[in-house]
Amino acid sequence: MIRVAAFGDCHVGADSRGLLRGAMARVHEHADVLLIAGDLTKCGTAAEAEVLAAELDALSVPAFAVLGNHDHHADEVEAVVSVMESAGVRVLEGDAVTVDVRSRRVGVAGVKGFGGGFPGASGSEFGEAEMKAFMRHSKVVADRMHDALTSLTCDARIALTHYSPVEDTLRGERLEIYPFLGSYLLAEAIDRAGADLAIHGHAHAGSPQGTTPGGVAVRNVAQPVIRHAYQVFVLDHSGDTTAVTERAGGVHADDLTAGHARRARGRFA
Amino acid sequence: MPPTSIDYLRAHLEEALATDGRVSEQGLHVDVAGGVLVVRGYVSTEQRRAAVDAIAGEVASGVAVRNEVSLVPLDEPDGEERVG
Repeated sequence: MIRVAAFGDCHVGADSRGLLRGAMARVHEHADVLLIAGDLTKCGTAAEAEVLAAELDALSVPAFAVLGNHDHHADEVEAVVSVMESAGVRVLEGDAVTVDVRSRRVGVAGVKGFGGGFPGASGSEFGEAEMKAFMRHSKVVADRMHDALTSLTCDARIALTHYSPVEDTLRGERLEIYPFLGSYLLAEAIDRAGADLAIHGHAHAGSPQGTTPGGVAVRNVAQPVIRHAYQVFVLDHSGDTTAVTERAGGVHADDLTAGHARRARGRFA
Repeated sequence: MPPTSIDYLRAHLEEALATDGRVSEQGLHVDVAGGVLVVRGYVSTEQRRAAVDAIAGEVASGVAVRNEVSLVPLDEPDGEERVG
């Protein structure tokens, strides 16, 4: 059993001091690892990241994060990452990490993600340079997610993004802005690589639960959606000690546990 | 010069709430109801909630604005969800 705490969109600023500290100090009572799904800061400054770092001062579980669009606003990404990593939060962008908890190994693959839209209402890499760049970025970050996930060998794999991979968790947002809230390319990458859980933020008026077309559970943990400091997810992998492995475009059944095989059959049938 | 349409004021207020550093919140939504601009959504702090009024006064002066913005609850979770 792996207990994962997750939240996104805390939008920490100079006026946020003390708001998260108490809850963060007690995460270990509820979870083994903490994931932060982007928008750590209000405007993306290193000074705001310092405020969040102080809020996480008493955190005693491994913590991983991706950045969100707010964290890019001030063009201080490198400094924001540096502050968070100095505070013990590993910031992922196309990276994959594993951590051992309760004799199980959990893997986290993280990318910010991007917009672009969903089947039937998606942008295309065509036309003006600005439009092509927009959609190209969406493809690049989705490819990063696929590569990061497939590099993992572990008992449970989690895809961590800021933008949403599915429409399900956007329900409640205006339909017109879906293309700015996520991209199906992320879901496709997650389904191709395989994962046990996908966590994202960004959609404050969205819905908490969804599923990729391939059957991966998707959860929107934006704080305005979960209405708590964080949410806890339990991945039950008792007796599950092997990982889904994608090789040459397929899944090797020898590597699959029953649960993984069931999900993989759905994806690759 | 003709008065600015309330539809444009709505858009200008949404833009200002997203980009003004006092709030910087893209998740706030502005509706028009009976000639009143109604702002809804969540912010993290009381200062940002108050700043919604200040920004509205600057961007949409002369139009009634109702601030229905809420603070994000930051309580610890009261349960867990089994997934996977």
